Amino acid sequence: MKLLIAVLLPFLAVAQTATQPAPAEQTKTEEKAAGKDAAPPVAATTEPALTGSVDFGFRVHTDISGNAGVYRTTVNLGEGAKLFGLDLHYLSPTRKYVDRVNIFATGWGGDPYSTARLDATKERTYDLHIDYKNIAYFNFLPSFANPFLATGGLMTERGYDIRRRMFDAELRLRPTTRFSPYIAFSSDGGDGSGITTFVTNSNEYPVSNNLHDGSRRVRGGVNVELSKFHLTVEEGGTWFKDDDGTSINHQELGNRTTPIAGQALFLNGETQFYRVRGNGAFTKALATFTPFPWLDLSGQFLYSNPSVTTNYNNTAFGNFVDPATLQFFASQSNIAFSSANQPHSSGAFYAELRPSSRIRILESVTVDRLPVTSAQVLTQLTSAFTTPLLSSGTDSLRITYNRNQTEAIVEIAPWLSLRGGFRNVWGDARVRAPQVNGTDTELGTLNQNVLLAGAMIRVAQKLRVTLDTEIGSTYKNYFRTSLHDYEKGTARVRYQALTSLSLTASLSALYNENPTPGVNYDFRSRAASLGFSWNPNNAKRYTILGDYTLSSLKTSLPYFLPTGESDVSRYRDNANTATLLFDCAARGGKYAPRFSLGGSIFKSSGSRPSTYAQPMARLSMPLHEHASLFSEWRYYGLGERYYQYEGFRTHVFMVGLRLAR
Amino acid sequence: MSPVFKASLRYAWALALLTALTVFAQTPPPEKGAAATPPPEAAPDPNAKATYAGSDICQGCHEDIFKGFQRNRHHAVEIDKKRGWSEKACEACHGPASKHVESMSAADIFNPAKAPAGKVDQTCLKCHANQATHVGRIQGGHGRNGVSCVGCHSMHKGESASIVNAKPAKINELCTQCHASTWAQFQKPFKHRLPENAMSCVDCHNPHGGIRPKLIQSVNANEPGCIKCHGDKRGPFTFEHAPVKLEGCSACHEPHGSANPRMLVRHEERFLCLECHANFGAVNAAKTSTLGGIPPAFHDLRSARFRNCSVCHIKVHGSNVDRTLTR
Repeated sequence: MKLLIAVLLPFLAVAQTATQPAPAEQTKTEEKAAGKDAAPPVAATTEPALTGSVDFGFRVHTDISGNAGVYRTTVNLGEGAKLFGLDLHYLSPTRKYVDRVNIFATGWGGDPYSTARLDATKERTYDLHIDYKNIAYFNFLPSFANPFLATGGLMTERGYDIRRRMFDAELRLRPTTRFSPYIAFSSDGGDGSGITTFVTNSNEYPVSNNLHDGSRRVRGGVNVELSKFHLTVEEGGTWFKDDDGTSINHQELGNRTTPIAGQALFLNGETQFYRVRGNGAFTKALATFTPFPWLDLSGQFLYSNPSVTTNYNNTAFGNFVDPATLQFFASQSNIAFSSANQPHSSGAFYAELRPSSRIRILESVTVDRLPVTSAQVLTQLTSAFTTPLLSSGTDSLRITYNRNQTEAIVEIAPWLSLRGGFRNVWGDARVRAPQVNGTDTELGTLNQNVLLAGAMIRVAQKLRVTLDTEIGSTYKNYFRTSLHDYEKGTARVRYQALTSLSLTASLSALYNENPTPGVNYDFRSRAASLGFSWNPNNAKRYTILGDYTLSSLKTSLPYFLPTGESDVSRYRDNANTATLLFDCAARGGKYAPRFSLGGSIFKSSGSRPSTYAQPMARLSMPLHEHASLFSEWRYYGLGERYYQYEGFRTHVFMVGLRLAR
Repeated sequence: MSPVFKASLRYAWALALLTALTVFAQTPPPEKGAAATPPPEAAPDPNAKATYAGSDICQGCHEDIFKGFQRNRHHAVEIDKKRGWSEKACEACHGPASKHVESMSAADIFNPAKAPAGKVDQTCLKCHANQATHVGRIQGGHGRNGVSCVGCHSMHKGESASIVNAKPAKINELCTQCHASTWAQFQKPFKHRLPENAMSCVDCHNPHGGIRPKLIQSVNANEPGCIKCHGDKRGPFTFEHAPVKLEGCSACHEPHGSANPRMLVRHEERFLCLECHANFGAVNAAKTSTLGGIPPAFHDLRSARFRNCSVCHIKVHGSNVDRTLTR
């Protein structure tokens, strides 16, 4: 952070000296006028320089009924003093160093998601944006990755307790309206602990896990904007590290419950260290060109080249077996060194042609090339062999992707526009083959044609309808579940029934099937939403918002049982989601209390029936022109029909003070 | 009917539609007097004889808008003589207002809030076309489905001095007005932290467009926006799991919300994995050639031990050590 400030301060200082406009394209008279207006005062207002609000207070919750680990996984709100929110706007009266500063913050005081943002602007000088997030990732879910679930064991083998911190800062200088260089820095990292498995021959053992990874990114570029032409060129670099490790120093029997050749497998101690280091440079070039009023051209070229090297070592003690030779051994050691490189280039070209005022033709072409090449050297030493086994190999992944889309949008009437066109997607991928194939790699190809259509209807500012549909036909694709012969459609309707009442509806559907013998995949999903917003009398007394969504997902896919027989996997999920918020103010002028009641409920049936309810009530009582007291109640309740031990229920109460100016 | 024939038929439909639309476009527009020639440089002008009145005149009737506009970023248009609209910023977007001033009729002034999306975009892009944010705009759903600039941006409000309120809660509220069923997914128990206002839709999506489908943000030039926060999943890995690179994170994850604890697109992990890994791939066959065919007999799926694949395949996003993704 100190380094960042040290980097940014000189730019701020430079920014102060860069307020004179460039003389290009302007007459001398205009230049003088512009110079005089270089720092024009904001039009006189009676508003104070500092406005905004701050919400702070205290939160408690009742004892968690049910699974506290799942509560932490899904809600995780803690108790104690909190800064619930901060929203400040500063408008400089002198505008010497800054015109405006906006500061937002939420969830400070140990909450699972703390955020802060600062935006500072001085017109024609600089824009500064700083963003920080600190988010807790906690995961303890017995139904997930738990091989002992059937026997009543409620300890997950894949859990973690991590904090991820993300920081972004961008400074854009605006010495002229045509030319603006910028520099940015961002980082994200995670630290914490967890539980994972150590997998070795024929058994796997739960072990404790330390997680520590971090990425840093620096980028800088320049943006040139002319009346008919624009160019942005950006260059950046990334640095990455991942220092995960696992360890255990007591005996674990693992997940295997049956002995091999009369011997039980077990683990007495183990350590693993991953030391991953990566870096890479990236380049971005964007351009737009408007040669004629009826033609817009734009394009982009993007290139990144991340590479990673890994040093891995592992030692383990216990009773292990080589399944190929049925030879048992008491210790093993693995040392691996590997590297991977991914030069990734992408390009796109876009054109918008307007042959008349009512017709637009849109053309876009996208190409993408992503090869990954890697190599590894692995040394394995077990107590069964006196000499280490040394192996080395390479791996690769190569993807080419191409996309062409042509569409026309025609304004049939001021209230109706129609859209139609087609898309063609093609490419190929060479990937590592399954070991049973007997080949190193296998090749997949993609060839898909899609018909596009849509309509936009606007009737007298009251009714807006948007229709969007795609019909795709695929000759070849990569996976059994990829979009094959599909139909996709979305309809959105918005109706302003009254000045105070608006109604919305949306319907979306996707039907995808791959009738190829041996695949026979069928996928159907639908979602329908209805919503309303009623604000009588300009929302001075009442506001009611609500929406309801019904969604369903069905898939069917044949698969082979271990016995060699074929069966069909059928997946069903039907979900109902409703939200409602009623907000009202009592009579009594500006010191009248305000009451809100509402919340959301999600209820699903099918393959994993779940219910999740989040009702709430809030009372706000103004104490003074600039202060109000608020209290809030929330309830969180999760119910799982098949995994009842994952359910929880709790009430959360907040009380606080809101200061506003 | 062969797929090639079906595809050809659909192409023929598309071409026929394009031809019909193009022919239609050559006919005069329904409104009398409207121009059929390419759009003019200036904002749409309902009356060619109208002249510029100046913002002070506008203030006379639209005092609230005038005050809010002073704290909006577009106020620079009003005070910066270099931009050519000094003291007539209102008319930079609304067109010459003299006729409207005389008649006081809404019909005599161009109102972007009531105009077709294409015309609104052209008004805004008069100044903003040649900017980085608009590269990829026409490939995105917003640009194609008639969501105009004023659908999201406010030129009049002074709140936070921005043309779009940057607070996560406000952004999410704005997006939800059209994407209600997407917001409903965030009411599921396992989701990204949008309802708590720790994140907003634009953290993952670029509403202006871009090179990725579904307006997904890119980082490091052309890498998926997901790795901005999930850097440990970025790779490149010595042994890649191909779907991650081929179809992206959403091949397995439902980022908006799921009943699955890891936000998977199926409620249990095995159902997701086995959709690809419980069948033989027909290598090099004409139409059935798909990747990832794995014979099922290697694991006894009747045993609880093999029902959660990531118990052993812990490096499912890619591994730097083991080709079976177990370390």
